Amino acid sequence: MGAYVLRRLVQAVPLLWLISLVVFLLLHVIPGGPMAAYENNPDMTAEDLHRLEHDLGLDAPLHVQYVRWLAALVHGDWGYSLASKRPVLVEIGDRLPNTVYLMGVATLVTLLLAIPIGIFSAVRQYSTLDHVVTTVAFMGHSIPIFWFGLILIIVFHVMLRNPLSGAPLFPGGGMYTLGMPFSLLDRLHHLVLPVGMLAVANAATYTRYTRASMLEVIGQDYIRTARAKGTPEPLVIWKHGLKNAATPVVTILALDLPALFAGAVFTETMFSWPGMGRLFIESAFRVDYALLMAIIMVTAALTVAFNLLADVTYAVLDPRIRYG
Amino acid sequence: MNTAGVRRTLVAIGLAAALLASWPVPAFPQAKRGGVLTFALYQEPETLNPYIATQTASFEVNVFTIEGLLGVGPDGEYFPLLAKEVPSRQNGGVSGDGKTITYHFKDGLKWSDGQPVTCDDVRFTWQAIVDPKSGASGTTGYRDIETVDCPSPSTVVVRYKTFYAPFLSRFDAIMPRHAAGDPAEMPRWAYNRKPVGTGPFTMLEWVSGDHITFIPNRYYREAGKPYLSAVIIRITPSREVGKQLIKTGEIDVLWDLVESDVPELQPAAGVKISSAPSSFAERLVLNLADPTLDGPPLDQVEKNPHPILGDPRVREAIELGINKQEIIDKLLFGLATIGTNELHIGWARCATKPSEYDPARARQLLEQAGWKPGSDGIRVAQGARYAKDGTRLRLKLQTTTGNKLREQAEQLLIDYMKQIGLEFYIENVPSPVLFGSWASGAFRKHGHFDVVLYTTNPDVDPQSQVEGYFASWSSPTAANSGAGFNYARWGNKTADENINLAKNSPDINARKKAYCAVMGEIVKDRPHIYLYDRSSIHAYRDRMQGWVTNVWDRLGWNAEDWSLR
Amino acid sequence: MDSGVGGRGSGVRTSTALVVDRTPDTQPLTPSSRVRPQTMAGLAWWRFTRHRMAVAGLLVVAVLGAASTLASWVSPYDPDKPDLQLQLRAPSPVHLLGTDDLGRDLLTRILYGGRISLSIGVLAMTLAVLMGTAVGAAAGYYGGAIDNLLMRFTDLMLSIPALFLLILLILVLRSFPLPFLRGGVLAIVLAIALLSWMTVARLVRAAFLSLKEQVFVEAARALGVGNGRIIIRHILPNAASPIIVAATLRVASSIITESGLSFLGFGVQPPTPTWGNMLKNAQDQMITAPWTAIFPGLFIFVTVIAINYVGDGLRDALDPRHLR
Repeated sequence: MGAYVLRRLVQAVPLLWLISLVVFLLLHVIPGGPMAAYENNPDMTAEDLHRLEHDLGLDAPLHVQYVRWLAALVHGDWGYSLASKRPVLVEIGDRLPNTVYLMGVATLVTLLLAIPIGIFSAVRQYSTLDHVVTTVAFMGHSIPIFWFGLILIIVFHVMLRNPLSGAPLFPGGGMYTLGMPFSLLDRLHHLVLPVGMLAVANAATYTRYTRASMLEVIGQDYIRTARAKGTPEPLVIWKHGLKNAATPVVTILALDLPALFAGAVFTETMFSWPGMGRLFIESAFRVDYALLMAIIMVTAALTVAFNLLADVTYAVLDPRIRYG
Repeated sequence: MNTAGVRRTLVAIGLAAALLASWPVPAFPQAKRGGVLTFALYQEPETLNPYIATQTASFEVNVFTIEGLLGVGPDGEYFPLLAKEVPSRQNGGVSGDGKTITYHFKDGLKWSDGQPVTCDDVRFTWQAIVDPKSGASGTTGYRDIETVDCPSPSTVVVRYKTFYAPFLSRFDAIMPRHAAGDPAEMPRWAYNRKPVGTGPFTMLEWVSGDHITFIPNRYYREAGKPYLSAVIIRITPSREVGKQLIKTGEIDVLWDLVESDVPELQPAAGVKISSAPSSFAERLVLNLADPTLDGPPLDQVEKNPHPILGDPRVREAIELGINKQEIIDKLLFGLATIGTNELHIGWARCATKPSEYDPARARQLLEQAGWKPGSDGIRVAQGARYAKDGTRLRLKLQTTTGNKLREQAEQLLIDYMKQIGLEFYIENVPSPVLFGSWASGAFRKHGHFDVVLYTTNPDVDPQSQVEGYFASWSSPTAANSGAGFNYARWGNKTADENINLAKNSPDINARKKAYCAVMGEIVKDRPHIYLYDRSSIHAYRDRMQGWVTNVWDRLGWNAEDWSLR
Repeated sequence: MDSGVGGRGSGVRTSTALVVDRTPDTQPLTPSSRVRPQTMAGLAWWRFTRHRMAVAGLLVVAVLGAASTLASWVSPYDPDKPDLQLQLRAPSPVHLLGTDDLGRDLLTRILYGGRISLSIGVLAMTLAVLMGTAVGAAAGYYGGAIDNLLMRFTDLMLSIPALFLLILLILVLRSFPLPFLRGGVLAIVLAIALLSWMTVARLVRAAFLSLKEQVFVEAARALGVGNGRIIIRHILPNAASPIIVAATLRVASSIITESGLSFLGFGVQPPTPTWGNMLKNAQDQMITAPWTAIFPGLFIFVTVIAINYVGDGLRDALDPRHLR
C-alpha cells in the first residue's frame, strides 16, 4: 500500500508539470492579455506600455516566461497578481476560507439530506416515497443551477417578507450583515439561500449514489443472514447495510472535495460570496496570468491528491481490492 | 486528559479561533449624527493607488480618502481642493509662457495620520510616477516636468520642460512620502491597500472580495465634517442582486446603472434615481482604410481606401439611416441624448447640429454612390467609387461581448441598415480581444475591421482624447509600434492644425475654438458616427442627503457633505 | 478498477454539476401481459417502452426537436426583427409566451434558440463520443504503452478543473481568426467536446478490455482479420450499449453547460438566440418581465430532464443487467 501511494505520488509530478505547461500556453494564446487593461487609456503612450510590459516580464519570449514562472514556483514563489500587484498566495488566502466555509456547510447539508433519503428510498424501493425521491433527484440534477438561484432570490429575498420585521425573508447576498457584531444566527441566515442552491444540485447526485449502492448491498447474503438471525431491521440497515454501502459514496465524496477549494462559480457570483470561484472569473476577465495559473494548479494538485485519496479509501473500505 | 489530548484540543481551539478571526468583525464608532452608508460596487478595486489602478472601481473607492491639488466640479470647471486657488495668469499662478505653475496649499493641511501635508509630498508624487521602475500606468504630462520646487512647505512650483496644455489636470492625487515607500517598489507598497490621504474618510479595513470600510478622517480640514460615521463599500458582483438590495434598503447607493434598470427601480419605494448627461459617447468607429491591410500608415490609406466606407456618401447614408431618437426612446427610456460629436459636454463643449433620421435620403445617397438594390434588398456595387462591381454592401459590426445594451443596439442597427439596403452582421469579441495591444495583434489596432461600436469619453481636458483619436499622427502603425487611437485612420489637415493649436496654446478660449474646428471636421467627414450620449445613472435611498451629481468626478467626490436622514 | 467504483467516470465535477454523469439507476418494470418481441432491437424497444418516463421524455424531445426544426413554419414571427412598439408584452393569445425587450415573440425566439441549443448538445456529444471512442478503443485494444500513454492523457484532462478549463478554452478558440469560430456556436461545441470525451474513453476502454479476450475476437484474429476491422466490426458493436447511454446523457449535460457559459458571458453571441443567452439577457428584467426569464429556463429544464429520462430508459433497455 505504501509503495503504491508513493508510486502514485511520483507519477503525479510529471502530470502536474504537464498541466502547468498546457494551461500556461492556453493562457498566453488568449489575445489581448493583461496589457489590454491599459490600452484604452489615452494617457498611455507607447513608451509607457513598453515600460510596463517589461516591468511585468511580459516582453520576454514565451518559453523564458514559463521557465521563470516554474523556477520561481520551485522556490515557493507563486508570483504576483498582475491586477492587484499583491502576492498570489495572499489573494488566494483571502478567498479560500470563505469558499471552504460555504462549500463545507453545503457538503455537510447535502450529505445529511442525501444519505438518509437515499437509504430510505432504497429500503422502500418502488414505494411512493421512492418514486418521489427519484423524480425530485432527476429534477435537481436537470435544473440549470443559475436559473434556480435567480428564482430563489426572487422568491425568498424579493417576494417573501419576514412577517415580524417586514425585512426580506433571507438576505440576497454576502456572508454577514455589514456593520453588525458577530452573530452566529446572522451567519446562518446568510447561508440559507446559497447552501440551498448548492444542496439541491448536489443532493440529487448523492441520493442516487446512496440508493443505488444500498440496493446492491441489500441483496447480499450477509444482510439476509443478519435478518435471519433476527437482528432488528433498523440495525440491519444502519449498521450492516450502511457500512458497506458507504464505500462508493465516500469515494465520490473524495472526488468532490477539490470543489471545496475551487468554489462554486455561479453561487458565489449570484450571492456576492467572496470565494475562489469568483476570484477565478474575475481573474479570467482580467487575464491575470499568475493568479489564474495558481488557482488552476492548486485545484489540479488537489484533484490529483483526492483521486489518490479516493482510491486509497476504496481499498481500505473494501478489502477485496489489492494494489500491486 | 493526557498532554497529547490537551495539545490536540488546544490546536483545535486555535484552528477554530483562527478561522473565526479570518472573518473580521467590523467595529467602528457610532457617531451621534453619523450613520453608516453602504455603497454597492460591481467590481472590486484591484488597488487603491491611483497611479497603478486601471479599473474604474479603484477610483470610485479611493476618492473617499485620496485628494489632489484641484478638483473638478459639476460644471466641469476646476476648483481648489488642497490648493488655495486654481492657478491662472491673473493670480500669478501661471507664468507667461505657461510652463511654470505655482500652487499654494490651504492652511494647516494634515494627512489622516496627523502628519503635515507639504510641498515635498507633491514632489514625491511626481518622482514616484516618473520612476521607471514604479509601474505607474500613465506618465503623460508628468514626464514633461523638469522639476518640482519647494520654496516653502506650503508652496509648490511645478516647472514644465515644454508647454503642456492640460497642466491643471495633473496632480489630481497626492501621495504622502512618509507613508508610501521607495518609488521603485511602488507596486508593493502597503499604501496601495491602505492609503493615507487627506480626504474626509480613512480606511478601516478591506475584506477581500467582500467590503471596504471607511471611517471619518480625524484630521480632515473642514471642521465638523464628514457627517457620516462610516461608509461601507460593498462588493456586489451581480447587478441583479444589487437592484434587489437597494429596493430592500440593504444598501444606500447603487453605482452605475444601465438605462434598462430604471423602469424597475423608479417605482420602488424609497429609491431615487439620479441621471445626468455624461461625457461618454456611444459611437460607431468606421474604418476608412482597406481592412485587409495591416496597420497602413495614412499615406497608404489614401491609395487604399475601404472599398465601402472609403466613400463619404456611404458614411453619410449610414448616419442618416439610423433612427437615433428611437434608440434613445425605446432602448434607453429617454435617458440619453442624441450623439453629435466628441465634445458635447464640459468647458470645451462644441454644439453641432444632430443628424436627422432620413432613410429616403440615405437610400438616395447610396444610389448616387453606385450601390444598387440586389435581389434580396441588399445593395450591390454597380459603378461604386472604390468597390468592384458586384460587391455586396455588407459590413461587419463588432463590439464587446456580454454588454446587453450594445447587443440590443446592434440588433436595431442591423434592422435600420436593412431598410436602406445595407447589411450589417455581428461578430462580437471579448473585451480584451477588442481592446488588445498592437503586440497582441488586436484587430482594432491593426485595422482589420469595418465598424466597431463602443463608448469612450474625453477627460476634463480633452487634449489627449482629441489628439489620440483624431490626429493623423495617431494612427497605429508598425512604425510607431501601434501607438495612438485613430483607428478610423482619418487624416484631415484642418483637424491636425487645430489639434496642434489647442495643444500649444495657454489661452483657454483659443483652445476651445480650435477643438470646435476639429469637431466640425469630424461631423462633416464621419470617421466616427455618434449614436447617443450616455447618462451617468445611479440609484440611492431617499434617506441619503447631500450628494451632488458630478459627472466629471467619482460618485463619492463630495462624501464629506453626505448624511443620512 | 474503474468498473469497481460506480461513479469514477464522473471525473472532475464542479459544484455546479456542469459536467456530471448520472449514476446508474433502476426503474421498475411494470408487469405486462404483452408478449415479448423476439429480435434484439425489438426486445430493447419493448423494454424501453416499459419505462413510462423515458417514453414521455422521448416524446417531449421529439416535439421540441420538430418544433425547433420547423420553427419557420410553426411560427408566424421573424425571430430577429425588432419591433419597438411591442417591447416586453406579457403572454397573451397573440404572443403565447410574451415578447422580449426588442419586441420579438418569445416563443419564436425559444424555438429558434432550441435549434442552436439542441444542435450544440448533439454536436458536442457526437464529437465527444467520437474522440472518446477512438481513445478508449485504442487504449483498451492495444494495451501496454499505448494504453498507458492514452490513459495518462485522460487523467491529465480530468485533473484540470473542468469549468475553469472550459472558460479558458473558449477564450482561446474565439480568438482564432477563423470566422466560423467567432460567432461562438462552434467554439462552444469544440470546447465542450474537448472536455467531455474522457468519461466515454474510460467506458469504452473498460468494455474493450473485457471484450478483446472473448472467443469471437480470438476467432476473428485467428482468421487473419486486421486490427482495425476487429475493432470496428467486431468489438465496437458489442460495446455500443454503454456508449449510447453515455451519449444521451452527454447531450443533456452539454445543453446545461452551454446555458451556464452563456450565463457567465462566455456563450453564443447575439443575435443568434440560444436558451442560455436568452436567459442571460432576461436576468435584469426578472422582476419587470419575469416571463422572459422563466420560459427559457423552463425549456432548458424540461429538455434536460426529458433527455435524462430517455437515457435512463435506454440504460434499462440496452443493459438489462441493471434490472433486478
